[in-house]
Amino acid sequence: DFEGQNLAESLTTTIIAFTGILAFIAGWVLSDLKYTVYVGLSGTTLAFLAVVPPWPMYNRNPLVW
Amino acid sequence: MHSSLVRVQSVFSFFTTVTFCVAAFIALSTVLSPTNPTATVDVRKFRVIKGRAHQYYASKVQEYAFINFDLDADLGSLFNWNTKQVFTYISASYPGSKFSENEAVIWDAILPHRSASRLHLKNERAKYNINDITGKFSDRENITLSLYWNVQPHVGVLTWGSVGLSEAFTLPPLEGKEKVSAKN
Repeated sequence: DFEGQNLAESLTTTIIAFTGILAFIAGWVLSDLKYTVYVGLSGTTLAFLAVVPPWPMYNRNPLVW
Repeated sequence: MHSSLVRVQSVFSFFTTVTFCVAAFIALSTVLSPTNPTATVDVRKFRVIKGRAHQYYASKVQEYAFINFDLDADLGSLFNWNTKQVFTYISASYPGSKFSENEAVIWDAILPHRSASRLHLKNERAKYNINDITGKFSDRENITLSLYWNVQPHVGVLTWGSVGLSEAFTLPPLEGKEKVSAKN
């Protein structure tokens, strides 16, 4: 379970950081702030979906009492 | 990360941090990057009428200057992807008797888009008819009109600038007693 927690945390960090960079680049290249906001929000939604619901991949090493 | 609620909180907090960082980068990139507004403004005073007028909601009778002007401006280079709108205004400045520098805005406009940033106005009537703080405008000399712009970004700091200066002109003496409302 602790492995799962590590995975969840590293996943959220990388997804959201990457989304931030992509959002900035998208807005810069397309020269419109709208795209920055869209890319940023959709990437964040992806991060939420990947991390928050209790997927079984986070429970691969459960604790043995 | 041991429960869903904790994960929600963690993801959201990192999201706000990243959002703030991206906004800071955006603001920096649009303020520091070479934004050189090569606006060619040519403000020419066309005609000046001055008359005694009643202020529409006060009983004090003062002297007002009615100014018409020509304006030729291209403020397109001020628009980048971070600009929400550009507020531009023309202000008349002159030395006065009571204070050494007086300045009054006679006209302004909001440009929400780059397509609206090419201004060609001929004999445009000033939006705001100005009056002097002493109440008398007679024969004021050395009045110059200049165009100012103010860029309002989506994220970041506001920036101002001025461009274009007309030559100095002198107001004619008081015209007849026209009972004209000041908000023409």
